[in-house]
Amino acid sequence: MTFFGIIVVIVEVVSMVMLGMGLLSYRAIITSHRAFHLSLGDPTMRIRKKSMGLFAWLYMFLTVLLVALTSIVFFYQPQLFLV
Amino acid sequence: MTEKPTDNGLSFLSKLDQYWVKHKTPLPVPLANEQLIALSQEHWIKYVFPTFLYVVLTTCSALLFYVSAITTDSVASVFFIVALVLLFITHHWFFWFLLAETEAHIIVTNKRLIYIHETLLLKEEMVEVSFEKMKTVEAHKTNFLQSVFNYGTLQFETAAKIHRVPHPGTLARQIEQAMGMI
Repeated sequence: MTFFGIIVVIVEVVSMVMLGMGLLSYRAIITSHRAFHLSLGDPTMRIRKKSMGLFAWLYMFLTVLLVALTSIVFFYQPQLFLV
Repeated sequence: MTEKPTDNGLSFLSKLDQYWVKHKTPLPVPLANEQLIALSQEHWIKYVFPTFLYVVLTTCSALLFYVSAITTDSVASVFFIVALVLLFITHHWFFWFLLAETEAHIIVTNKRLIYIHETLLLKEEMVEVSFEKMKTVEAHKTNFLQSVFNYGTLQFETAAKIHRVPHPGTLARQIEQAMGMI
């Protein structure tokens, strides 16, 4: 593997680690918020329920897609695809 | 046949939750007879500029990918890596912002107002205004944009402020009603 190839792999791995950390931290926030809302007698969490999962799923899907696409494009020569 | 050691019924995620809870500022404890009166998120205007920036930076990285495709050899790789780093920094920054902001909210109970704003891993902000001592709240709309999109600032006697509140007048009335309950 070339020097640039190693850098690309490192960037992709760091990106996946950031995805994991982001999702876990987000999960911690919604868990503590849910507990607080439940203690106030609001089990439905009202308006926040709609957007809660959507952005997390979108984040996960887009990150995996970008990592896969950029890896494929880099390791199979970008010129073949883009020009 | 040997039994697998038990982990006191805690899954990996439960243990992780406990770890996070230990290392985060705890949320306020509900008071006796505290009831929820209103719950509001911040105004959607807070998403506009970051979304614009996300689109601009993603377009820049797409252009750099294109430049890497039309150049040759090591120069192409340098452009590719710059584009890749820019793309991922922008992508993660935007989604971390988005996930945190959807969880920022204003809670009005019959005893107090709580504003919670957390950023993933980095910072936590919490404003708590007790209605026992506080008896007035002001709603401000200071510019044209705030009047058009109907959002503003809530200001309390302690100089505590909460910005980007949707329909600040309505929320201020609800708060004043809650203050009257004390």
